[in-house]
Amino acid sequence: MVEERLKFDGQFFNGTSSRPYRVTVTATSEGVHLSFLDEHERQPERRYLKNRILVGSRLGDTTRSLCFDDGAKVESNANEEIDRMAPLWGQRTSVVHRLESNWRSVIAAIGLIVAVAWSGFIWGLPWAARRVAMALPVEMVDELGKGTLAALDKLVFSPSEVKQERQKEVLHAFEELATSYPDLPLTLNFRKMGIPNAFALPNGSVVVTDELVKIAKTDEEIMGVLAHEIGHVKHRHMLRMTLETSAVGLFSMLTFGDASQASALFASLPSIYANAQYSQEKESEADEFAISFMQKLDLPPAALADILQRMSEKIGEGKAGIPQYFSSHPSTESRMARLRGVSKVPAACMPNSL
Amino acid sequence: MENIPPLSLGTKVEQESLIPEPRRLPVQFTGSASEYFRIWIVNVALSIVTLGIYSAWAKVRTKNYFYRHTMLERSCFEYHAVPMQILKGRIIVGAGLAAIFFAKIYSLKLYAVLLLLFVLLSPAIFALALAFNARNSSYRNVRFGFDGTVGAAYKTYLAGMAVYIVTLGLGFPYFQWRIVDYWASNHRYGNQHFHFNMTSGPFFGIYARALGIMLLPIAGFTALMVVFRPTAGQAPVLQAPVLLLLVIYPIMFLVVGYVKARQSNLVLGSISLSPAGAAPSETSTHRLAANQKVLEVIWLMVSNLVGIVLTIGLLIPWAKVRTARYRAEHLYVIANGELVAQGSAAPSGNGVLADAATDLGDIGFDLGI
Repeated sequence: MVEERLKFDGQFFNGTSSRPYRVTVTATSEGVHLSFLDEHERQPERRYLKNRILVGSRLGDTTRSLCFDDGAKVESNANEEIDRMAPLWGQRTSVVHRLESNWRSVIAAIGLIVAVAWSGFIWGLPWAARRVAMALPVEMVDELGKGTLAALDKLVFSPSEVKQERQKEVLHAFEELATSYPDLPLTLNFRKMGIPNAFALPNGSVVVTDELVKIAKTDEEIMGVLAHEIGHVKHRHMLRMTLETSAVGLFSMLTFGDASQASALFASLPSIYANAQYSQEKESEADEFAISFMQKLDLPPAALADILQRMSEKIGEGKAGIPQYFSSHPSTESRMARLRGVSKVPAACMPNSL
Repeated sequence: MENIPPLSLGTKVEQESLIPEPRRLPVQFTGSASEYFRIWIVNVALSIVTLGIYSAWAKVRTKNYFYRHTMLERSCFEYHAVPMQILKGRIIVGAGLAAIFFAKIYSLKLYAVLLLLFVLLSPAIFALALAFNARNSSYRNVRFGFDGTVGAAYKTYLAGMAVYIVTLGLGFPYFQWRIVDYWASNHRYGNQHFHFNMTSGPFFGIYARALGIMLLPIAGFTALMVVFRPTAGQAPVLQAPVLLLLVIYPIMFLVVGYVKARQSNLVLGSISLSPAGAAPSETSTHRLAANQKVLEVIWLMVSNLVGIVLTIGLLIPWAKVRTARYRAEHLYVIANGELVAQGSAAPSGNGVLADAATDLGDIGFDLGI
């Protein structure tokens, strides 16, 4: 092996003071030899053997340190020279630096990030959330959102004004549906809210608003809505959404959190988009559940489409201007097309995702 | 940058004249967006591949990139935190966040208790994080340090909070000033101590003017709306989203930019450094000075935001490098004599608590030098 002998300039610090000394470093495979350059403050030459040197990791073209075991160090910009000496002293050069300095690996990194982020958001996260949500025992899920209805009562609901007889009829229809799922703790609640709507809470409480009961022309329509809500309960949609949105929030915080606060706005857009996609996916899943459920009970899925159409006409005005990408529900047109496209009779191959 | 005195090592000046003139030393940032982009993208990719474990190494590398490219008198700063410590800290923080997350699902009461606990702990986290950061930062082989105690942090928060509450929020600048005072006057560079020489008065001035900047256009706009109010049956000329874009955003940037630039100049310009034991006298004291311009800071923020949004995040490294360069190039050290401190190259060890705190406590302002 040819004896390596490199010379480069640097600043020496003795480890007890911040006074800089200009030095020339002569590096050989044995170690380094420092000669001091300042005329007025001559220092005796210093010598450090290789086992007393710790080479700092390379980071772009930043100044790098050679740390010595007595607390002293040399700072130098001679990155190439130091990279050549480090292996001779038995120290590895940084693998990460090689990745960072090569444009091909940088392009590979971009490709990897895009691929992982995309597939993670589209498949990975919903899959994991479903696995976790479905693995939790029923009693635990019951606990979730126990206080939710009480909270909603205070904030948005007022007591129902639907007549007792009508409530009994709807309740009867609901119980007819609920008998198919005796393992779910399903209960029905009537509330006044101002707009026709229905909700499903994780603990099996289904809420229908007075306005929805009023807007329905047939009991089949109400049963369609109830079947959709039972679908949310059955598939633990709220729990899955909570898991998904939390993961998205955590991810965007970790990725963009250290960027300037100006980009916080930017960081929130993809998460709003992702959350909207997850919500739309759940709505479609609940629609599919309602379709197969209604077919099983010999009810026309088109009835759900009819009431959806009336609901969107009633509350549509207020939602104008929200792009479809950021909406919590798929477009009413596409939902109606799907509901009306299926027959009353179950198809041989159900497109149900579970 | 042209009329800055040539760099010289303190020793030379000392020998040539008995009463050395104070030297205005510029801080420089020598990093570039293309270099940092590569480091950043590899950091993100490796963090993903290792399921987040590498993020601790990425953090140290990122911090070091900015430290080691920040130059004062031809020497750079350095960050020494060991990634393993940061990883341990991240695991603790992660466990805490997971606890809060599951508490939120299970019982709102437990969730509230945990959140309250977090709020109660935040002054301690603040103090520990500052200490961790200072201890792991060095310049010319001498470490920084932070001597603020956890007790003093609580005192600062409580006093500031009390004033804030009693004055129904009007005392906010005082709260802000107390925290900056705690931060600035407890830092140390080797045996040299930082001092913060400012009363809370100027803080009130800044926030009062910021309030003026915020209120004046709103008042003007309201007046316009009243004068040109739509006649019955006509659609209003300005819709809510347009209003937000045309009025609220510019005002927001104006106010934030104004406060940022003015507060940086004021705070940094009030910091001095003198040897332990010595009174902050003229001869032995170094000072900091900053001259950020409001409009330049606003332009920096707006252009960064537009760049980041238009490139779906690819320009984040560019934005960070520009910000670091702007802050460095508008910061000076007015050195009175030699810029030499005595101190150790290796500090005492870090506690696990401090490791956890450094992540939680990565708060908006850092030393900037």
